[in-house]
Amino acid sequence: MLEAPTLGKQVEVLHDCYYISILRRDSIVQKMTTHFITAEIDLKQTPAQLQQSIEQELNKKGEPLRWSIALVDARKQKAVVEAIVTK
Amino acid sequence: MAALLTVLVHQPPYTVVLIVPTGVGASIGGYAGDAMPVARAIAQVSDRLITHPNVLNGAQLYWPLANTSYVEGYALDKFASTCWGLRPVRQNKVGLILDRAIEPELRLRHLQAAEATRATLGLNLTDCTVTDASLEVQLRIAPSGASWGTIGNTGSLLRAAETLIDRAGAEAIAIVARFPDDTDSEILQNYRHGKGVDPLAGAEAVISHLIVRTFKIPAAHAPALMPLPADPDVSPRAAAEELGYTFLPCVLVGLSRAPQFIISKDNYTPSPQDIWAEQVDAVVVPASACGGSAVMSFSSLGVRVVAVEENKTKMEVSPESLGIKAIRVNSYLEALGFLVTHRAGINPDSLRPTLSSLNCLSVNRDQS
Repeated sequence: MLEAPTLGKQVEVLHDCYYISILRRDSIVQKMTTHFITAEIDLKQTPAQLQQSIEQELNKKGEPLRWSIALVDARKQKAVVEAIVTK
Repeated sequence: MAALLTVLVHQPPYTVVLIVPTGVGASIGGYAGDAMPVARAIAQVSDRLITHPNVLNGAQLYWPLANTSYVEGYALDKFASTCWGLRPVRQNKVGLILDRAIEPELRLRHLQAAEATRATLGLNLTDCTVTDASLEVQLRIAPSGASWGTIGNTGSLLRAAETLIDRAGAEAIAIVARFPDDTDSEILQNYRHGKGVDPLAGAEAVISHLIVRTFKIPAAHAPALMPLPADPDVSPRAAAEELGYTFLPCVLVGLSRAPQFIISKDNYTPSPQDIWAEQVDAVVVPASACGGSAVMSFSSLGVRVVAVEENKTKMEVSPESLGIKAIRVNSYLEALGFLVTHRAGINPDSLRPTLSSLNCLSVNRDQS
């Protein structure tokens, strides 16, 4: 059980525990948004080269959070990537 | 007299990574922790198994595996890329974040689930927090058919985690976000009947990835939903999510022993239990879902990729299409057989009825 709250903090008492409602903190006030994007990347000779190309492309659009190749178009020699990036 | 020499060779621990991507409709593992039997079996034939929450989370159901590491997906990608190592722990202090949008009675159910893990399982939980705003979960389906989603208030999530870490000393974070109730949707019905994609999975992954990327500690998510009406056609693979009011117990259990991350080799003091990607012997993955970051990283390290054909997914990415050399097996049973031979240093071909003879190669003549 946490100690009694300091002035200015809201406290909800539920059950047997104290819960501290979080005040807006300057350290994490950023307006971060997530974005779903797709990208077509040329297939490379090695998986390592392909992975590097994918990450370079995604880094242009934001900070990658999650990605995977959803489809490989053998005729066009392209990998279709679905990704979530943050900005 | 023939002398019998016994040479004892120290073998490093045989380490396997099991991946069943979340939100891609995997026929095994795409539902309610239904890849857990696969994990249990692989854990039996390996010294160390590394897998992710989607495999081990069965809502109210879970299985303790002493040689298995519960590693969130973002961390698994960083581990596979050799950026991060894993340091096993005896116990983490787990902090719980509750979405402000959770209704009072449902919040009480989650608190009681947490209390139950403390009293009945002896887990170490810190005090919990409620986010300063509703997280506003949004669900989507990608063009590929995979599940994805996001939250409207990322800052609220991260502030809550920061407080648990700074003030309560949390070493791992469990998040419960209020997800939309959409009891009549076709997607949900298909999922419950074991046919479709988990519509929640994509948003769940985003939530835990945000925590792990920002704070570099273990995290996992359980959705808060109202109980669904009883349905006699629920698939056995989805049945674990019909059992109770929350999906939280498995998450708390998993996080309680999830390895911490070694995020830098600067001033790094190695421990014998540390695990790095270079020590992984094999990665087991559905054959149609080889396009993830972790699989590609492991492939580049020379880790044996075992592609399981029977585990169908919505993806259409074979290992061969990416230039990944893989052992193709039909089933997880066959994968287990491969792992046993690989671990023992046995050529799998020698277990087949026909074995071709050796060829003699001619010696290359020096052309200079």
